[in-house]
Amino acid sequence: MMATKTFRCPARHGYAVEVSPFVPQRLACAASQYYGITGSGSLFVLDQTETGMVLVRSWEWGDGLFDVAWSEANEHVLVAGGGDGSLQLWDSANQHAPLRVAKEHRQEVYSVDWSQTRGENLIVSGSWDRSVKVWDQDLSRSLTTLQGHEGVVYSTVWSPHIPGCIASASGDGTLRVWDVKAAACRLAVPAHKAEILSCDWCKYDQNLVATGSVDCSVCVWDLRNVRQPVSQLLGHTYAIRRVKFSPFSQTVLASCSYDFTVRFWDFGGSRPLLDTVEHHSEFVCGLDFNLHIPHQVVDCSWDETVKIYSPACLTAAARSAAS
Amino acid sequence: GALPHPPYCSMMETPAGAEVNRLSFAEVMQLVQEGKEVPGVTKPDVQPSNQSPTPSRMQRVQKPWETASSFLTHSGTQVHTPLLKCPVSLWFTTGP
Repeated sequence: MMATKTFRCPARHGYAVEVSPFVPQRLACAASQYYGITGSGSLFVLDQTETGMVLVRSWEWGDGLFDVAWSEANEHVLVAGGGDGSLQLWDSANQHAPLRVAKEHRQEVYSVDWSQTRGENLIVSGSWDRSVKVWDQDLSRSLTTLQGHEGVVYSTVWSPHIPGCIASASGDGTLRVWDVKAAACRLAVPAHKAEILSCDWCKYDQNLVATGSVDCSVCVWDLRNVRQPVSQLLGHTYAIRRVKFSPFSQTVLASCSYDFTVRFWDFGGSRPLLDTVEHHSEFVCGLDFNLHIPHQVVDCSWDETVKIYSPACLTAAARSAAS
Repeated sequence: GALPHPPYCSMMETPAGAEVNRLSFAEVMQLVQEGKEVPGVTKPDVQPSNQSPTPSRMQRVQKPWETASSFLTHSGTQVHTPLLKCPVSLWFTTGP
């Protein structure tokens, strides 16, 4: 198993990481000064090397940064969401400034995502102002505003299969599915009795969505039958901050938590918990699988580090899937 | 031969006042709630350039789930669902 690679960002608390859809060794990290309570934010573009990571580019923003998403159409472009309610478009080959800034949300933007579906080039944002907004790639003016959540929106994710379809998770305890073209909510699932901080779509079954909640559980939902979850994954001892489905397996997912750990699950088996990784000393907020490298994971934490590692449980899963 | 790169490389200059940034989450919250100044807080005024993005030179990379053979290999354990209502994609309008 490869050694863990660590990048230290002094005085910056990591909120989100995402691996580039184009460049296998490249990742972006959105981080904030003072845990995101006050002060500025930083956006980092990092390249992994054989033994660690090097900084390609970094920028400062006038408020905290809480999420980042790479463009699916241009390898240089990223979008980030800020504590001032803004979305900013950044260019990894341009040190000067953000390309564009869009300020419509009236409160913190906690989630940004860029659509992966071919033929679609849209950005979605979720805000503490309870709304979900859809934007084109130029971030000129929002195309649609989706209202319905009765609490802050923490997570907004495009379906990787269904164009114009978004899942969102909220402090109101619901998971919602939105039809962008109709500007309508197609489904509201009372998924948890506590706030839901994250959701993600299964990459191999268009009907499955996972949610991660303050109630310390990860649930997997079949949207065709939401009376009970397909699976309830228990083990974390504090709130789940982010969930991510594997790009390589239908039933494998990862979660990171305020309990300082990252856990890997396979809900297709009888004993779902594959592994618990305890290499952080603070809340773990960011998590992503490397799309290009089957067993590799990246995460970031309020302990001022970004880590890249290859948990043994994923290598084992990749081996058994290939056989 | 060339020396290897160090395991991590923090090329960003440590911001002024970072030495005092060992306050805990609770300490920062308390200062903010009491309306007190938090030491070393920076609030840069950053404006957009409104420039066009650097032109893309790379082709879109197929996702692992978008290749048929990958789907067969990695579809893993079948998840049985008791009710087979129509798939989610059919809830959505298609076409103009």
